[in-house]
Amino acid sequence: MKKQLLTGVLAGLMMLSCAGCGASNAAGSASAASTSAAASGTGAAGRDTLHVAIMTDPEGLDPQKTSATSTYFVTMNVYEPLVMMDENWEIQPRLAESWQVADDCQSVTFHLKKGVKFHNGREMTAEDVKYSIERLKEDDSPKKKYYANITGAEIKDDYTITFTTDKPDAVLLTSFAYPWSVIVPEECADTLKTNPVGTGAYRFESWVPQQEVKLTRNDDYYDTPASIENVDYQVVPDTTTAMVGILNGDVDLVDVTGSPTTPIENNPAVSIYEKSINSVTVLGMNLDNEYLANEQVRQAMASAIDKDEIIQAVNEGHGDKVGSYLPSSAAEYIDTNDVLPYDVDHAKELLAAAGYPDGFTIGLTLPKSYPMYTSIGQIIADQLERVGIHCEIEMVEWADWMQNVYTDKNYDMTVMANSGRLSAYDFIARFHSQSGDYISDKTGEADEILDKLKDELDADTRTQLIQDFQRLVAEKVPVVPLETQHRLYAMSSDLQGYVMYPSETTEFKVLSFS
Amino acid sequence: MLNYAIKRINGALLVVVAVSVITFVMLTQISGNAAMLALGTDATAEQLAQLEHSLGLDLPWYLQYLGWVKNLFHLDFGTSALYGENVLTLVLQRLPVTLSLAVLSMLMALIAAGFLGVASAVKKGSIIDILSRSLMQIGAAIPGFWIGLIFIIYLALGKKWFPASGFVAPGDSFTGYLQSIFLPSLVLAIGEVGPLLRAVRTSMLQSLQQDYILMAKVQGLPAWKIYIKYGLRGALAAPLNVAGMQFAKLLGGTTVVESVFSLPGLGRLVLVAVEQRDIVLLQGAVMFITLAVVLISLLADLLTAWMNPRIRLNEGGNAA
Repeated sequence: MKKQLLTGVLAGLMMLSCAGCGASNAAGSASAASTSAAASGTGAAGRDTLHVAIMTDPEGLDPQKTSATSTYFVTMNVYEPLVMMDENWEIQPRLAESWQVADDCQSVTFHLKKGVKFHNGREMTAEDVKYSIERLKEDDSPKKKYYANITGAEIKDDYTITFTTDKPDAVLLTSFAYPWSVIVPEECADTLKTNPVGTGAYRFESWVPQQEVKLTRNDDYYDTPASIENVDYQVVPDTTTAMVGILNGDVDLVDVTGSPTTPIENNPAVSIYEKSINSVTVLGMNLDNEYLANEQVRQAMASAIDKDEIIQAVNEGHGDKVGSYLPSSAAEYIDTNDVLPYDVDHAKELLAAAGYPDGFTIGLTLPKSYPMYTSIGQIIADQLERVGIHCEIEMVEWADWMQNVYTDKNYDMTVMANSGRLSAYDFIARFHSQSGDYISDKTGEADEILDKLKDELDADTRTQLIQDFQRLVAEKVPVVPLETQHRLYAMSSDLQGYVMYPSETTEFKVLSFS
Repeated sequence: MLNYAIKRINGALLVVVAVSVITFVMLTQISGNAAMLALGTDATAEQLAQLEHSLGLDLPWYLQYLGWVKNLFHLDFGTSALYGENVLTLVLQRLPVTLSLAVLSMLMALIAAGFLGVASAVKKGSIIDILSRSLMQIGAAIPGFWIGLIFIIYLALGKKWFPASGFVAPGDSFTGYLQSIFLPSLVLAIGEVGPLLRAVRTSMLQSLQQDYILMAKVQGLPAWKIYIKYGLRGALAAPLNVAGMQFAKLLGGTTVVESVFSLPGLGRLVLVAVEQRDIVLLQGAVMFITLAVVLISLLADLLTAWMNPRIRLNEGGNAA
């Protein structure tokens, strides 16, 4: 048994280690892996520390000032938002015990829980809520644009606050349910990046960048306290090392998304949690490019790409094929995979009709900090070659990608996944021709739907519009949607209660060792 | 001697300033910046411009550089944009790891290279000579990350003799500390032993051809005295020079081995600073490495000059 495991690990060695070295610290995937250096006592009885391996270091511990999911993975246990979207996409109370959204969708009133204390001992009040939400509108808040519509905050008393908006917002409440819309104490604001102070079930203990973050149970927690006393995050940049950690028992929890799981499958000591994430991986296209401006060319590409092959090769099957730009887990999702299915002959016909029977050469910019997207890009290049489209692949660092692709739009095609939003509109608004986004649909075809959706308050009509949008993307192909990936967490089999929310976070307070 | 020392110290200062300017220019001129990376893929162009302005990233590089130098005069190395932590703290946190790895791996490599180098020079063409020369090739050819993973799988996962990853501070547990740095040091030593061994063997061979060795043999001195006391002593300069350069390189961090063994060393700090365009952090780390390298080579030069009058009379013939 053990021999087989070793062989399995060995087989994946080269690939894994290359991936591990490449994927260091981009603002993204909170891939985790782990191992604690000191051999931790892993006897089942009396375990009081959760050892979590993380591949990417948090970029500071102030969730309002970073876009790094690696930060949220830690801070969701230290800070809390007013409300929370649970795994069934239902809003649950956190720091607010109840709320009313006005009928015109232009204001929301929160009634705060009483007796909630920050980790510095001071009670949280409506003042803190006002301060925290306004802090999201500062220049160095990555999510600033999502809060532009919230224009007023009126404190009724210490435990009641009303936020008002400029324009009606049918999904206003979701703005308060993100890992960054958390409540922070103003007096600590300047040092939250290194010394987080929140209201959560765990309080911050210590952080050594690139090494570890330690949290310990908040015994003054206003709700049921956490079951496990300590949480130790260990930074383990190499996936193979992390896998060894989980086999060794040094690690209790690690994100293994995109890594071959063969070495840890069917091992009684390890269980795997799998859930589709709230995002869509796309072949992003710059519609200013002369070839890509042609709708038939884009449709030809969509037909030429075999998404099943990609999901099998890159995710070992752990992904849902999608025909349009909405995560497969979203409530408004419709299956559009049959609009332009994989069909090489049809792709060739479309190319010929577009005036390129012999194909052409086009650039494909891939972010090498994300091994998964570069692998997908390479497979796509191979598939497009079969219909005569030659991709010139350029591997770039994350900072180059941010400059050339996201900021300057100086690219032809790229592979990227945009992480999920709790409201479909926020997720798809990038496609508006005026959004200035790297995958903005410059033909303007999506504008009408998006403009209507922005002001529409009726739930059924909204769903209708979001479904129209999906059909539009599937037919007109402003991007080639590829898949909704599944997140895979490997954990020691005695760890119970793991749940990942749509915001891709997990509260460790609900975990326990059996 | 004093003149020579002053001359070398001036040269060293020039190197430090030049390196700091070059690093700064390079990182400010390549694409992407800290504001862009902090905001990620949700920000608008206007917001990015505002943040770049408030962080001073829209200034020309020389003004940003002057700002950094000004802070340096107040002994302020600045705050990392990425971590929000003082740069000096971050660099100092990494010292125990980097120094431990450098010292232990150099020790291992020196002992192995010294023993094998002398043996293969004395018994030239013998089986031990052939084995050592093969070792040189193998050590140079095997990538460190691969041998590191092999060690992890067999010695950490299989035998459980060592932890698979992480660093234990010597203050927490001294055995734990030694265990945590043993495997990565061994991996580094395997890479370093080749050039060292070659240097020991070559200069030992030269030294053994000297007249005084013949004289010693004629006098019938014991073998260890001939080879170690007279032979090796005359052959030390070249290998020590190689060792010095290797040590300086190790102080600059060993990114790959640090990543495989999850050690928070200087190599990964520099890597993340470049990737995240964290200029202040990179400057701090690079300044530290440069100072260490310059100081070591300065000391080595002064030591050589002190031992060898010909150099100090020439006033600086032997540059770093």
